[in-house]
Amino acid sequence: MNNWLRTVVQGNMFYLIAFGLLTPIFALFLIEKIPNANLLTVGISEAIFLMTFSIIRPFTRLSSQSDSRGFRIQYLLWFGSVFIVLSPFLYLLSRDMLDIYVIQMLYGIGVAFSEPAWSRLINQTCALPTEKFNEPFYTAGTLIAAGLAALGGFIAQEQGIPSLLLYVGTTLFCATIIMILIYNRIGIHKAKNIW
Amino acid sequence: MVNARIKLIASIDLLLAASFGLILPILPIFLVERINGATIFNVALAYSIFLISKAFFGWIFALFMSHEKVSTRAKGGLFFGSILITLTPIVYLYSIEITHIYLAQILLGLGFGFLKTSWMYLTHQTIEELLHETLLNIHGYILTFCLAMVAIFGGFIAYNYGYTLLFYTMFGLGLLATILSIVFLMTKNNPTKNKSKRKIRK
Repeated sequence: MNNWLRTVVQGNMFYLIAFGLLTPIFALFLIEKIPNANLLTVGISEAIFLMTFSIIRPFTRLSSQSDSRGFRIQYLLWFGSVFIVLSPFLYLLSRDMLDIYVIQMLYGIGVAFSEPAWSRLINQTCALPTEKFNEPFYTAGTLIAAGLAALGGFIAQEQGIPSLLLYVGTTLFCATIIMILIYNRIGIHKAKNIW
Repeated sequence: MVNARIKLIASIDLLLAASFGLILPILPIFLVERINGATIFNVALAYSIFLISKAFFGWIFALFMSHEKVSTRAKGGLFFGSILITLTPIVYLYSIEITHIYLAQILLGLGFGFLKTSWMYLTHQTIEELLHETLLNIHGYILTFCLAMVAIFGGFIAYNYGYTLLFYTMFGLGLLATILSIVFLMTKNNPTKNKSKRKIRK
């Protein structure tokens, strides 16, 4: 398959999972913006995202396992993308740690809903590794995430964290639109016209 | 079925990920509070240095490993990777400037690059080809859940008892994983046993 398409899919997936530019400085954002935030609540907020993701992910995988044509996965991708795109804008409106917990839960649901579609795209755009050394398989995605993390730190230092959140929200919207378009193009197997 | 080697190698990965996961959510706060001259950009740069070194060293080690003596080099990679990840909390603990943190991140990336590459090969070697994907899926679910639990635990330790105890806990978990990796190196893969099971399943 096309190498550029594979890189775009991997980069988008890493960007959406790692919350793009925000991941390394998320704890600092919480400490600065939220009144009751401390080390324990920051740990809990991260744990809520991971726990929601790990609890819902097996069920979405199971529901999409028998979906050979890919329509059910497409609906899950749409709903998940809406949750993911909404979360940075909701961070801007949050006032208490409880709001952050709910937003983290929503973000976890979004990532768990979108994950079957991403893995299906990865499987279709990448040829399966024939050798046992498939660690360089995800190198492009990791490097893109690294570059974006440094860029996020630069933007946060120059412009402040609220402007970074707006920027992240906009770029996440673009990334999800690109993923949905790519999925429409290559993820769905339409039935043959029997007439 | 699951044998002792698979249990061992899955436990090694879980313990090392848990060791790093203790500090992961609160690392930016630690850097800004304790390190001289750390800014938001430095924190983000440290994170990206870790990712770049992990990808780079993982790639180099995969090429090195696939050249010759694959099994021996993979075992060595598992052992040295776990040692490097175990030593990183000590570097965090005694670091004063942001340059030391960058070095610690490079060390951590080196360790994870070694570990992930050799871990993938050794799981391929230990389990059947058909069951490997199932193993990776189940291991992924358990790993994410373990990281969630450990994030709360790390925040609790740092909030109540300070960063020093947190780093010693990380070191202890890493040490346990290193001991388990030594035990894994001493066990032998038994291909005849696997073949007999494959026949029964067919």
